[in-house]
Amino acid sequence: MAADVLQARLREMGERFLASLGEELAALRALTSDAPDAANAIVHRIAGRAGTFGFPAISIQASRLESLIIDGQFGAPAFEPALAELEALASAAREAVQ
Amino acid sequence: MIPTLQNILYVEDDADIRQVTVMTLELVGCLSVKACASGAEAVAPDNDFRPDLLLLDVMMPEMDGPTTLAHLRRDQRFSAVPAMFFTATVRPEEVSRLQELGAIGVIGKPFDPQTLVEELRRKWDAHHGG
Repeated sequence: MAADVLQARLREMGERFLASLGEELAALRALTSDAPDAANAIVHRIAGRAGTFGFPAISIQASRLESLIIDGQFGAPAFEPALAELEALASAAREAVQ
Repeated sequence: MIPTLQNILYVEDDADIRQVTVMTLELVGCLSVKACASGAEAVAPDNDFRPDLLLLDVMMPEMDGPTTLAHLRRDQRFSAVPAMFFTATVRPEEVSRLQELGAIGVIGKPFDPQTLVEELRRKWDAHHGG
């Protein structure tokens, strides 16, 4: 019974996470290349929450972005396709739950 | 004999992850959890919770997990309480670093809420010779 309650709550929180993910990604897109710390905070948060709420692909891709930022690649050419991939995964996840 | 694990002082800055973890520990593990949103909150003088275990996220703003543990260790209330860390970086060198700080266990993030309690208890038992 406790496991059922936990599952139900995780599902609710997962749906809320997906609903807010678009805003998080828009905020990330709006950052300029001189704000790597702010970018890292966003992707770190996405990676943690996505994994916890059952969206491993989003979590892994967000972790990749985090690695790029740590390597000084925020705003560099390598970052854009990785961000686009994360956005695509988020879109697909939202469509899957609708 | 392995001491009972009942009370956990948990520090995590992300509100959603904090909520999931507390739910998991309380509902599945039947544990009593005092959740703090920051290291500062954990070391506040009015924190009268007496934990069996400190459970700390590593990456937190202002006061990270290792710094929080250092502060807790200087406080008589928590100086001898075993600690575990949550970290997104579970590379061997990071695990070694946290163990050298005194951690009895390191749990990778993101964690699986369904197996968290089992993993926590396994590390607790292993530390106490179980």
